[in-house]
This record gives sequence, structure tokens and C-alpha cells, in this order.
Amino acid sequence: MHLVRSSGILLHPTSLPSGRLDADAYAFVDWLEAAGQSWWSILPLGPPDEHGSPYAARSAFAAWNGLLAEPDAPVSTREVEDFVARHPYWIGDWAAFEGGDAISDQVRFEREWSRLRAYAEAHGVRILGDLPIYVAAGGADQSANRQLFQKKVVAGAPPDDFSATGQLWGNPIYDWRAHRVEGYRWWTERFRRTFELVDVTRIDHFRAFVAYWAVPAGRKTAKSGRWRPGPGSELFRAVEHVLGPLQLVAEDLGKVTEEVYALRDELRIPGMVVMIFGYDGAASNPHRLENHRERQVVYTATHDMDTARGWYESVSDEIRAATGFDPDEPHWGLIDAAYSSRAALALVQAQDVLGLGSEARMNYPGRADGNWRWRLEPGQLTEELAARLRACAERHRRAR
Amino acid sequence: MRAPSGTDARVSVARVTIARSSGVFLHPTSLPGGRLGAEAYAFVDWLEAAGQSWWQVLPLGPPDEFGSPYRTTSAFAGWPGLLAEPDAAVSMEEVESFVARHPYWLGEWARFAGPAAIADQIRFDREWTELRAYASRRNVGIVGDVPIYVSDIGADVQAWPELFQHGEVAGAPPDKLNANGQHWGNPLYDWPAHRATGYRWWVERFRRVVELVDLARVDHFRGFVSYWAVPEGHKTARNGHWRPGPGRELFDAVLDALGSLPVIAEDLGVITPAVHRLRDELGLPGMAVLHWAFGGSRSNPHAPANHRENQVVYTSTHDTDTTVGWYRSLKRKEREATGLDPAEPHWGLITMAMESRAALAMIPAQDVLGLGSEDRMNRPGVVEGNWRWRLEQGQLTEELAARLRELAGLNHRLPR
Repeated sequence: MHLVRSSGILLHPTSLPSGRLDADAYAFVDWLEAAGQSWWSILPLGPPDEHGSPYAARSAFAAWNGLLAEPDAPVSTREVEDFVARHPYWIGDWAAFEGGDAISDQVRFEREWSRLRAYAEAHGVRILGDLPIYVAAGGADQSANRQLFQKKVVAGAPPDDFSATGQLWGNPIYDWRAHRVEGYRWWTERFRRTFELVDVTRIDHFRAFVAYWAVPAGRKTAKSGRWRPGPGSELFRAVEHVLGPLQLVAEDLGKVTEEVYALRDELRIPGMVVMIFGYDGAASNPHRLENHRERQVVYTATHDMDTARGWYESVSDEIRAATGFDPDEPHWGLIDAAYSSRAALALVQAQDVLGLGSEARMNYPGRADGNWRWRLEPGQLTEELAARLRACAERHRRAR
Repeated sequence: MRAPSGTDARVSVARVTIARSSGVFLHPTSLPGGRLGAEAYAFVDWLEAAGQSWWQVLPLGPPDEFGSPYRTTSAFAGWPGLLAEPDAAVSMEEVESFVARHPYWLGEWARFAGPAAIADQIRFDREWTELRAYASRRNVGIVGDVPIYVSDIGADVQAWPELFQHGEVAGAPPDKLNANGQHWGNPLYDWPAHRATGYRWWVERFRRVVELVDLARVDHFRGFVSYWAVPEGHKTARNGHWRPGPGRELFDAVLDALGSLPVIAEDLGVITPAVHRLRDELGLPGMAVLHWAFGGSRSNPHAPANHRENQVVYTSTHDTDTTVGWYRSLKRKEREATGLDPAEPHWGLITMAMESRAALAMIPAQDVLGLGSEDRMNRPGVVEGNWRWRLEQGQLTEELAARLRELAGLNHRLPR
């Protein structure tokens, strides 16, 4: 995929002042336009789990009715029938799983989302979505397509420097042979749906398409897992054969192998680098500014990490000194550095534009409670901030 | 109990046991109105009066342009052409709930046939459910029909292209009657693909079948053992090959998922021992047809002496001539050899069917009426002019009901 040099803001709709697709969402688009931004980057739009995590959505296809500005808006029978005919692959399974007026809610979501997207597009703002590689255990996907999931292993990550026993995520793992035999139909339909909703999507845990950590079901830790081969480029070729070129960003953070980078590059998918990882480690550290590549997306930090200010306050004096940032507003130093990167797209979390500390962080991986709650206050994103961000984007040739 | 029962999913044997009974074969399009309206209820009343336990129909899906219900545009949808009230109102709650209850196929059908097709399926569900409940209260069960193949231009091929083979189409090999074989042209299943999905499509198809009917004839059952595959582009079926079907595995998957498989195996024609073995392993009743009972070797399976208890005996079928038509077409010697009363050969054959040890005796309505060849339902291989026969108003009289009931009673086939 070819990314034009540009910049955007990461803010999930739940972090809007109202947390919904109402006037606040339109006001945010206006602010993005004023700030010279081309992208609104969001987290997955599916119905989150009980802790609010959109990465454990109980459907890979349905959108969350909790985002609706008008959850009681009237829906006609005709609209429901039309929606079913346009989404034959998954809507019935979702209706069977969720019950009630599940289809009407999807009609309402489509209505509000399409309107917002059209508005954003008219203002030069496109949507960068997010696709979690795995689905939730016990969700609609697993119950509708049991044959597509393995029975004896669950997902996780192997032991590493941070976790001696690895991470036990517990999601069902795909039976890749079954996907292969059905010509990757499920993935084709998933991507079809994804690109109905967003312009470009990040793929979370991209490395699992090359090899994934499989933990025997019933274990308490991820320690006794094994690496197993994923589908590789075959999946993407099959999907692109039906849908045409996919507009993807690969989440390739953490310890990954050369094969993962090779697949990413073979498919010409931009990877990710994160500025707050770029001020220590070896000279070859890919997050160091000088190691950035053009086909890349640079983040100040992501939803899984501390905020720029939180990070700055937590690092050693040496690193702090090495950054050369103004201690009064280190976030602007980090934004300016990110914007200066040769990476085509620079994404900044809304929290970092505001210079908020660790208390505003979106998610602590591995901690179940208290995440996904951060919200903008009304009027917090001011015209002054837009002007300053636009100036920075212009200086680094990223403004629209 | 009259209904099929006695399934044991643990050992994966369908073991369909039908209580001794009889029924009448009449597709709803052959009702005087051709629809599921008052005439359908009147027919159920007549069946009850006639002591009949079963109403057998042809496939209920949307037929092809020639009216054939064996080339339906969907293996799942009911045909709106059968609706008594095609404009009845449908509510939002009904749409939400119908979609949720039919997640696998309804969306695909709506994509193929248009959004308005959903309301039609709800209307069909409504009329059919009501009719079935009415029939059930009168001890009449419905025997359905499952065509093994689907249409090449239908919703199924469009929705699940990965489940169908490319390069070969369906047919039957050359035999004594057809030197070139029969070129049906339906798409063939990609059985490894079905296998890899745990036979999901078939599970869903049978889920739908048992939702609509009490017992289902499975057409061309032999195709599950091995099937004739004709290279695409050929004009005849001569250059085909036998290819292995999924065999028992498919039925095991369906049994695992649904717990029962109330199925009659259509095992007519030239059949191999492997087909009989699969049928018997699954405990499914096969079929016998009395037109073919006369002559042939001592082992002729259609001869009453060779009937089996777990079997359905027909006087004739929708694909054969009517009994009177058949009788007239016989040479004099053959006619005499049947021993049937020339004044009403159909009653003779109905009596033979009723007397058979086969658990279920099924009589096409045309044979009850003693109608000739002009009233037969279908001439296989002839495209036009089929599937049109209709009952006339009042044609099935009380007298006919009484006579059929008496025969059923004499032969222990009345509902218990």
C-alpha cells in the first residue's frame, strides 16, 4: 500500500466527550481538519467485552450499539431486510447470538457511521481502523463457525523478558487448514466488512499470520505453548483475489522474526514504529528516528503504552537528557520528532496532543479492570492546539 | 407413535422406524388452488377421512422456469408461489427473529433474491407451520423431498462457490434406456471442501428439512456413495466418470449435529451393493415401486415377495407413468400376468401396496383417482409440459376416502 506523507490522531470514539457518534464526533472531525490532519485512527468498532476491551469483541463483524448517538431511532422493516441482503455472511449469526433487535442496531450504526464518514471525507479526514487478529472466546464467531477454530489450543504469547510465564490470552485459535480449504472465505468476509467501515486498517498481532503461539487448553500459563505455522501470504492473496488490494498497516511490534518482516514487505504493508521506544537500546533499534523507513507508520505512543508525558516522567535522567525535549512540554518535542520521521504516516494519540500524564493512558495490557475509560473533556481540544499541530504538520510537510 | 423415531446419535445410526401406515403423494401445486390455502386444509381433512398418516410432497423450494422443483434456486428457501396470502403483512419483530433463527442461509437467499424475499420466507413459514400443525392434529405427517443437487444458477452456488466443483457437472451414465446417459448439468459438490467444513452445508440443509417436514425422501441417494461426473461442455453424459461421494461420513456429521435423520433413501435404478450397504448401515428405509414388480428375476426388489419391512412402497412415482397409464401401455400378455382387474387396475395395485410388508405404502393422488398418462406429473428428459397436473375441485370424494380407509384398515395401516 502506498501512504501519502500525512498525519493523524488516535482517538477511539468512546474517548469523545460523549463517547458516542454524536455532535462531538463531528466537532472532532472539524478539529482534525483545522489541525491539518488527514487521519482519524480508532480502535476496533465491535461490541467490547465486560471490561470495555474492543480487542475482545464478541463479533468480528458487528459494530457496537453502545456508540450510537440515537439508540432508539426508528428503523423500518425495509431497512432491516436490505441490511440482511447486503450482509448475508454474518448478520444472521449475529442476530442469533445477540437476540432482540440486533439487526436494527446494526442498521442504526450503519446510518450514523456512514453519515459521519461522509462528513469526515468531505473534510479531508479518512478513518484508520483496527482489526484484532483473534476473536473472543464464547463470542458469535466461534459459535457460528466452530469448524474454523482449533479445539485443543488457545492463544497467547511465549515467555519473554517481561513475563516469565508468557501471556495467556485464551482466545480460540484458527484452524488454518479449515480456512485454507474454504478458500479463506471467513477472512474474505471479515475484510469485506472491515473496508465497508474504514479506509485503512491496522492488523493487530500481524506476526501470528507467520507463526502463532499455541497453548494447550486448560493450562494456567502460556509457558508450555508451541510455535505453529500460520497461513502466511496465501491468506492475503486469496482475499485480494476477491476484494482487490487491501489497505493495511501491520502491527509488527515486539519480538518478531525475520519471516514476519519478510511477509510484511512481500505484501508491501507498512509496519509500525513507536517514538517512546526510540531513545534507548542498540543502534539498530528500529524505533530510533534514524532507522525509520518511508513505508511505515510512526506513533508517539499507542493505546497499549504510557502517554508521552507519562513516559518522559518515568525514564532515567540520561534518556530524558538525550531526548533534548523541553521538560515543560516534552509531548510537543515527541510530536515534532515523530513528524520529522521519514515514515509516511505519523499518528499521535489525542492524549499526547494534550500533554496528559499516565492517568490518561488508554490500556494497561495484562490488567483487566480500569482500562478503556479515558475521555476528552468538552472543549479540551482547542483552536490553539489545532493551530500548533497544523504548524508542526506544515513544517514537516504532513499538513493537508 | 406413527412418526419416525428411534435414533441413536451415539452410534450414529439413523435407524428410521416408520410405524405401519400409508399416505398419499400430492405436491401442493397439484391442489385445486395450487397454494397453501383452504384447499390444502381440505386435503388434510380428506386424508384423515381416508385413514392416511402421511402427505408426501415434492421439494418445496422455488422451481426452475419449467416448474421443476428438482432444480430449485435455493436448497433452503420455500417457494413464495405456494403462498395463499402473498401480500400478508410482516412485522419487524418477525424479520429480526426469522433471520436469527435461520442465520446460515436466509441472508444469502436475500442477497440472491432481493431484500423483499425475506418477508416471503416469513409468510411461507407462517402458512406452512399453520398447515403442518393442522395436519399434525389430524395425525397426518408430511413427507418431504430433498433433491441431491442444486441449480447451476441458484443462490447456493453463488453463496458458497467453494463447495462446488468446477469443470464437471452432474448426470447419470448410459444404460439400457439412455444410450447417451442423462445430462442433468447441475453443479457437483466439492466433497473434500464439504468434509473440511464438517459438512456444515449439509447439516444446515438437513436442519432446514427437519424444520419443514416430518420425514424426507433423499433423491438420488446413490450419489452419496459415488456419482457420475461429466466434463463441462459435453452435450451428453456419455463421457463421464464415477467419482467417490462422501459416504457415511456426511450422515454421521448430520446425526451428530441434529440427533436424528428421518430420511427415506431414494434407491431406485441401477444401484451397487455399496449403496445398499450405506442405506442399511444407516438403517434408512429404501423404496420399491409396484410398476416394476412384475417380471424380472426372482430377486426383483420391487416384487412384493422381496419387499422389506423398513421400506416405502409406491404404486407409481411422480417420475413414472400413472398406474392406469402404465397398465394401458403393457402388452396384453404382460397385462394378464399382473392379474389386475382391467376395470380398475389402480385399485389392484393400491391393494398390493397396502398388503406389502413395507412399513409405509404411498399412493399418488392420480392413482387413487385412476387417472391416465395425461395426468402424470413428470416425464424425465422432457423439458416442457411437466409439473402441471392439478386436482379438480371435489375430485377426491368421500367415497374414495372410504374405500382407501377400508384398505388401510384391512392392512393395519390406520393411524394409531
